[in-house]
Amino acid sequence: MMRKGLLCVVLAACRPQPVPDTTPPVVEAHENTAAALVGAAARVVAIEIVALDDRRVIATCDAALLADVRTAIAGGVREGLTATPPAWPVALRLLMQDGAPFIAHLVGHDRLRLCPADPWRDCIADTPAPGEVAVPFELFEDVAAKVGMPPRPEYGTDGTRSSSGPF
Amino acid sequence: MSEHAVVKVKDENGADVTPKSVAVVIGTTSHAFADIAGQGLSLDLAALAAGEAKLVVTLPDHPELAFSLKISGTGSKSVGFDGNSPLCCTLSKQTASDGAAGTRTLFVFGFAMTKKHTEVVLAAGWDYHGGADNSLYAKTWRDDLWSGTTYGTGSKTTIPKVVTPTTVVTLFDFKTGNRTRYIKGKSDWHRMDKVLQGTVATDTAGGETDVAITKRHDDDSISIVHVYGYIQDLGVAAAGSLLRLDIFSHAWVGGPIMINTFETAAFSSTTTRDPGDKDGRSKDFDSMARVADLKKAFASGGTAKMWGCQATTDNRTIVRAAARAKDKSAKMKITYAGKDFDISADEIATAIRTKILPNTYMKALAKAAGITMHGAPPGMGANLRAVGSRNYMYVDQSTYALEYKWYADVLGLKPDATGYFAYVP
Repeated sequence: MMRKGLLCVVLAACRPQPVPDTTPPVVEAHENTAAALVGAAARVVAIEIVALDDRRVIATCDAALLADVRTAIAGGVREGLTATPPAWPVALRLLMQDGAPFIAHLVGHDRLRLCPADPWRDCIADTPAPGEVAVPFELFEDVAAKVGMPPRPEYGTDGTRSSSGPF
Repeated sequence: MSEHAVVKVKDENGADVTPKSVAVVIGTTSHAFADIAGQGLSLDLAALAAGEAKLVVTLPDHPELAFSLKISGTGSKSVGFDGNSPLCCTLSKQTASDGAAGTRTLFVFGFAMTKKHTEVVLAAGWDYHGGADNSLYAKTWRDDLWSGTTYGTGSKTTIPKVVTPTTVVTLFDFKTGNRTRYIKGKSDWHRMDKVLQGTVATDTAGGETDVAITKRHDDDSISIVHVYGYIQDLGVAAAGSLLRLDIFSHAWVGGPIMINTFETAAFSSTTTRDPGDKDGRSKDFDSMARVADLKKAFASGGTAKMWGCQATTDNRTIVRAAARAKDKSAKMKITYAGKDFDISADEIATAIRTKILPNTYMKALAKAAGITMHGAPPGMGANLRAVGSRNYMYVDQSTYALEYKWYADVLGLKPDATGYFAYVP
């Protein structure tokens, strides 16, 4: 009796040899969802900080953070959505080892929000199925170091009524 | 043949209550009830135009209570509740003798009220960036306070049934600019009244441009001052009646962000509120003229909660630095408010205990009102959770595990089930 594996080898040997593919590699499309990013977390190779108004790349995040970012993202889609609006008018473009980049918004200190229908939109109203993944606080600190103090009051220290600060 | 509306009120012991006044209000015209033919406080419906109206009942130690009515008919009139009937009232149609004129139809509103008024005030900020409808969080909480169950932790939890059939739930919606009062209906809720605060609705157009923000500042539209004023009036009309104040909005260390306006330079360094500013400020209670009335409004055991964020980055940074320090007395370099400091973990703990926590909006309101107010811990942001059709705000205790542990170990502070700290007077 012929084993199944051997049969496959025999049949393969009978096929015509394929013509080598010389076309450029197709950039793999994917939905810009939190779930898709979780599945692709290990393939994130760089994170760009991109201005929302003109899509200009402002800076690239510290490569030393990538391993922790990948690990955090791979932790899965998080429950709920962050109430705090994004600190800056920027998006993060996650470049992949292969395939198209993901567009995400850093919301609060610890989360990336992805919107499949309109990836550059950072509002959640009328946005179908936004989802979030966790990222380390150090990513927020890195963006702050490159973009500057958040302009939104939610993140600021004014209003403490103490002119000398807490120290 | 005539038709009359009759109002009768009993308290929780079944004793008759004499209202201070009862009236049907149509537009700006008030039609007062009077004792007619010994049938109690009554109003002949003949002179009333068909359409929407308010039945305004004022009881001793209660604020004015308005109920939505619909009057119909051209010749013979009838009257009933507009929308869902309130649970606290039984409306019956009776017939009485009208002497030589024949019979009289009575629409008898039999109210079962408590001697002591109770109320819950909810304020929903306008989500000026995200576009979410914060009134949904307020309405979920209203429903939970009635049912005695909540899903705020993600799973079903029993909570005290704060809202009874006579508790008024008042919602200030900063997106629409309206103050709407509800009382439990036989199904869903009876909408008592809806009143625009100020003279214009919140201008939600124009995004976050300087022009749009300045217009919102300058407009005579809903402000946190309307919420304070309502509570102060409650303190005068029904002292000790306010069971809860809950604020659902963006927030920061300086207070709840109801619309995201600003203080002009003339006011920002003073204790006086900028009249154009619509947001809550921790200084509000320093210069409040009627702070005693605010305090009087709250019931014994009354409480408040600000459900939004305290996501001040520097506060989180120093807590994390302190939590990770092996030697709690060793100096380390930190940056706070753009300034560099050499400071130890012990000094961070002292600063948070003596400077940061005491200067929060929650602490300021707690002191002014003599109540406990819950709010997010310094440095932590709130999240949004949907459970079926219910909507909740909460602070994620897994995200902030390091910070919560430090607050508990060093300052002895532990969160409630939804992640918020108690700020005591």
